[in-house]
Amino acid sequence: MKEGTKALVVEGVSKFFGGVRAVDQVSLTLDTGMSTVMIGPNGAGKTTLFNLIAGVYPLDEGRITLFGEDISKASIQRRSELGLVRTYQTCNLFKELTVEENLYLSLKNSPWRASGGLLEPFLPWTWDKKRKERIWEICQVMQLEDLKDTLVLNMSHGQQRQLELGMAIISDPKIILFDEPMAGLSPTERVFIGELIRKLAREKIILVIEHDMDFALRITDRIAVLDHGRLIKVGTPQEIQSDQEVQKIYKLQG
Amino acid sequence: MIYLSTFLNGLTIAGYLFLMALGLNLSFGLMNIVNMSHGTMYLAGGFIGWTVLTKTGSWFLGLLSAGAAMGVFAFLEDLFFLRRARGNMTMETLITLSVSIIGADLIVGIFSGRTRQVKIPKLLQGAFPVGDFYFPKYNLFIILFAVFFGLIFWYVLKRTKIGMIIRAGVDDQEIVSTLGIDIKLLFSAIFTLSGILAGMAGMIGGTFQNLVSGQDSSVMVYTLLIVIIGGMGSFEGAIFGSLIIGMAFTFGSLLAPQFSQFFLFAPVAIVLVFSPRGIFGKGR
Amino acid sequence: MGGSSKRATLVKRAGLGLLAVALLVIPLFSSDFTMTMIIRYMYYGLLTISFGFLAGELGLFSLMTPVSLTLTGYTIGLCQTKFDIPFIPSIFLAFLVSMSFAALCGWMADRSQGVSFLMLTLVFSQLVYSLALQWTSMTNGTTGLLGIRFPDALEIFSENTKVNHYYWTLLIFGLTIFLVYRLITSSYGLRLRGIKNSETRMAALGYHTGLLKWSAFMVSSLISSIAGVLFVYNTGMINPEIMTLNSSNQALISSILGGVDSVLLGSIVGTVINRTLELTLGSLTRRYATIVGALFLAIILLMPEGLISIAKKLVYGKDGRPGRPVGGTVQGQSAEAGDGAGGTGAGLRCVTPGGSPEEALASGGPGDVVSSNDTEGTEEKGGKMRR
Repeated sequence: MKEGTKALVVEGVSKFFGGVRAVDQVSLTLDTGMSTVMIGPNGAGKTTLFNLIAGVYPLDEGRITLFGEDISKASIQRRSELGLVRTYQTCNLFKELTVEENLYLSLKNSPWRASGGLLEPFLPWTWDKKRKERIWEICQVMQLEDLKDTLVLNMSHGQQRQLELGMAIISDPKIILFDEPMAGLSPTERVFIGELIRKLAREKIILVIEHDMDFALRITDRIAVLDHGRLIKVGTPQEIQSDQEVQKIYKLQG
Repeated sequence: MIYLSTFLNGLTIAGYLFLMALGLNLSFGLMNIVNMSHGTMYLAGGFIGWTVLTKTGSWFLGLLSAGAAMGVFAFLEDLFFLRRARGNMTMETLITLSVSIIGADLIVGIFSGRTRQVKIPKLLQGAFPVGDFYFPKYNLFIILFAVFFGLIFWYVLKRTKIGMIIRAGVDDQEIVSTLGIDIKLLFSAIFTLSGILAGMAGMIGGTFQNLVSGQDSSVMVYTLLIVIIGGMGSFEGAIFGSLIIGMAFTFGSLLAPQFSQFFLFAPVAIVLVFSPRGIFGKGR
Repeated sequence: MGGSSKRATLVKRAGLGLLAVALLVIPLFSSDFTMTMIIRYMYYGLLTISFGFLAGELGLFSLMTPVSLTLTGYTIGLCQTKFDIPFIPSIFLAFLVSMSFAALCGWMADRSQGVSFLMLTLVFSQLVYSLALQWTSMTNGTTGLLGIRFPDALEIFSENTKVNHYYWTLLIFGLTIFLVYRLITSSYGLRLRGIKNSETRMAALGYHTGLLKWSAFMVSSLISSIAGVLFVYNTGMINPEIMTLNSSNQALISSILGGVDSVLLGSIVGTVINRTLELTLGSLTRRYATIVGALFLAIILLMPEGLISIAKKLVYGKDGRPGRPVGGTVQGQSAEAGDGAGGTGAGLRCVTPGGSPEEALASGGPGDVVSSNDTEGTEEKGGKMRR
C-alpha cells in the first residue's frame, strides 16, 4: 500500500433501478481503525451499496478505489484478490457441501492458496495439510469442531451464521463487509457472534450493516447513516444522536 | 416471382409456428419452464383433429376439438404433475420431458403414426391469383388466423389488467403474489391456454403439411428456435422469431435444398453470438 | 459417523474389487452375446457419465450428450471409409473435431443457466443431427457409415475378435472412470459443486466461474467422445440414430434413474437398468417407451435422488448420506417435507441455488421486515437467475 492511500474510498457513487435512485451520490472512506457500522431504515440502499462495492452491479456514477487501485469496473474476482470479502444477508452457503468443504472453497484468495501449481486443482483437496490446518483453526474459533463433516443443509440457522462468519475470516482478508450478521440469531448466539465482530473491528477494516443500535454502538464508534440512498451523516454516536436529520428519520420510523 | 411465393409460404409457416411460440413463450416467461411436451401437444392435437374430421366430416369441429383436447391435457399435466414440483424449474422441465416421451410413444400406439393428410375444408379450397401464380386460400387463412390471435393477445397483454399482471409476472414472479392473484390458478390458466394453442396449431399445420410421428420433436425444435431468437418470454420476440424461422425455412429450401435444415440454425447462431438473450430478451 | 462411513468404504472397496475381477474373467467362460451386452453397457455408461458429470457436479442438464460421440464416430468412420487415413491420426482428428465443436457450444451455452441451458443444448444437437442427415454426400444420410473395421494392430489379447474388443473397451472404460473419479474427488470437482450450490458466492470468492463451467463442459464432451470411439469400433457403424432427441433422452433417463448426484455409480447402475429394460421390455411389448417414460416420471416425482439412494440407505443408515444430521431447527428438510416433490435436499433440487422464501424469512428475523429494495441483491440470485 502506498503512503497516504486509504483502504477503501467510495466517491460519489450512484445506482439507479428503473427511475429510482437506490444509491445516491454516496461518498465514504474506510481505513485501518476506521471500522464503520452502517444504519438506516429499510430500503435505504444499504445492501445495494454493498453490492456495488463487491461488484455485483456495475456503477452508474462515481468511483471506488481499493488500496489505491480503481476498481469501479473491476470484476468480482479482482476485488476478491485485493482482499475484499463479504457476507450475505440471507444464507448463501454451499448447502449440499460439508462445513469443511465450505471453508476450503473460501480459501481461494488467501496465503493458504494453491501450492501444487497447475496440477493442484486435480489433486484430492484433502491432501493439502496446510489448508486443512487452517480450516481446523477456524472451526475452533467458530466452535464448529463437531460439525466439520456435516452438510450445511442439516445445520441450524445459528450454526449457518457461524459458518458464514468463518468463511469470511478464513482467508485473512483485509476488508470485510458484513450484511446484517446478527439477523435471526438467538440471544446467546448474538453474544458469541457480536463478540467476534467486535474483535474483528479492531484487527481489520470492517463495514457492517446493522439494525440494532445498541449492538452497533458496541462494535465501533464510527457510524454512517443512510436514507433514501443518500449518506446523511458519518460520525461518532454522540454526533449521530444529536443530528436533527437523523432524529427526523428515526422518528418517522417510530 | 418465385421469391414472392416463397415469401408467402414462409409467412404461412410463420403463422402456425407463431401460435406454438406464443404458448411456449408465455409458459416460459411466467413459469420459467421449457415445456418439452409442447411439440407432443401439436402432434396429438393434429391427430385428434384428423380423427374428428374423418368421423364427422367437419374440419372446424376438428380444429375446436384439437384445441379443447389439448387444453384439457395441459390442464391435467399441470394439475397432477407440474404442481408437485413447482418452484424447481429443472424438475418441472424434466416432467414435461417425460410426458413428451410417453406422449410420442402413445401417439404411435393410438394413431399408428403413419403419415396422415388432413383435408382442407371446402370453404378454404381454391386459390387467389397473385401476379402470375396462385396463392391458396388456405394459406391466407393460416396467416389471418395467426394475425387474429396475435391481435387478441396483444390487446390482452398490453391493454387489460390481467395482461398487466402477466407481464409483471414475466418480469418478477413475486410481484404477482403481492397483487393478490392466485398464482396457481394463473399458471394453470396460462398452461392450459398454451395447450389449446398448440392443439389448434397441430390441426392447422397438419392440414398445411401433413402429420407423421416424429414431427413432435421437429416442431418442438422450430418453436425453441423461435423463442431463442426472439427472446424468452417476449411477445414481440415470438412474432419476429417466427417470421425469421418461417423465412429461413422456405428460402433455405429454395436456395440450398440439401442444407435447408442446417440453414434454420444459422440465424440462431448469429443471434446467440451478438445478443445471448435473444432480440427482445430481458437484460439479465 | 465413524462406524457407518468406515463400513461404507469397506463395502464399496469390496464391491468394486469383486466387480473388477468379475469383469476381467468374464471372457473366459461367457458367450459372445454376454460380452456384446457388457460392451454396450460400457459405452452407453460412459455416455451417461458424460451427462451425469455436468448434471451432478454442476447442475446443468444437457440434451447434447451424444453430439461429441457422433462427431467422433463420423470422423473416424469417414477417415477410414472415405479417406484411408490410418488409425492413430484418425483418432486424433476425431477428438479435434468433436472437442472444437464442444468448445464453441460450451462458450455459448455457458452464458445461460438452468433451463435455458437445456434448451440451447437441444438446439445444438439438432444442428448436428440435421447436418448428419442432410449432408448425404459425406454421411450417407439415414444409412450412415457402415463397415468401419477395428484396427488389426490392436488384436493382441486373443484370437477371438470379440474378446479383443471386450478387453480394449474394458481398459479404456476403466481408465476413463478412474480419471473422472479423480476429477470428482479433486479440488476441481469441489469447485464445480460450489458453483452448483451458489454461483454468485463462488464468483465473490474469486473463482472464475465461467471458465470452470466451460472446462466442465469440455470434460463432459471428452467423455462422450471416448464413448464415441468405443461405439464406432464396436458396432462398426455410425448413423444419425445415435443422436436423435430420443438418444439424448436415454442418457438423461439413465442418469436420473440411477441418481444424478452419484456421477459414477449412479450413471452406471442407471445405464444397466435402462438398457436392460430396453432389451427385455422391447421384446415383450411395442410400447416399451411408454413404460420407461412412466418409470422416469415416477422417479422424478417420488425418488428424485434415484435408485442409488436405496443402496445408500442400506449402507449409511436411514439418512442415506455420510455425516450425521445435527439437532436444532433443520430448515432445509422441514421446508422440503412440505412439498410433495422434494427429496432430502440433494438430487434434482440442485439447480435452484439459495434465496428461497423460507430462507428469506428465516434470516429476516423477528420483526425485521425486509424491504424490497434492500434485498435486491439476494432476490436476484434466487428469483431471476433460474431463467
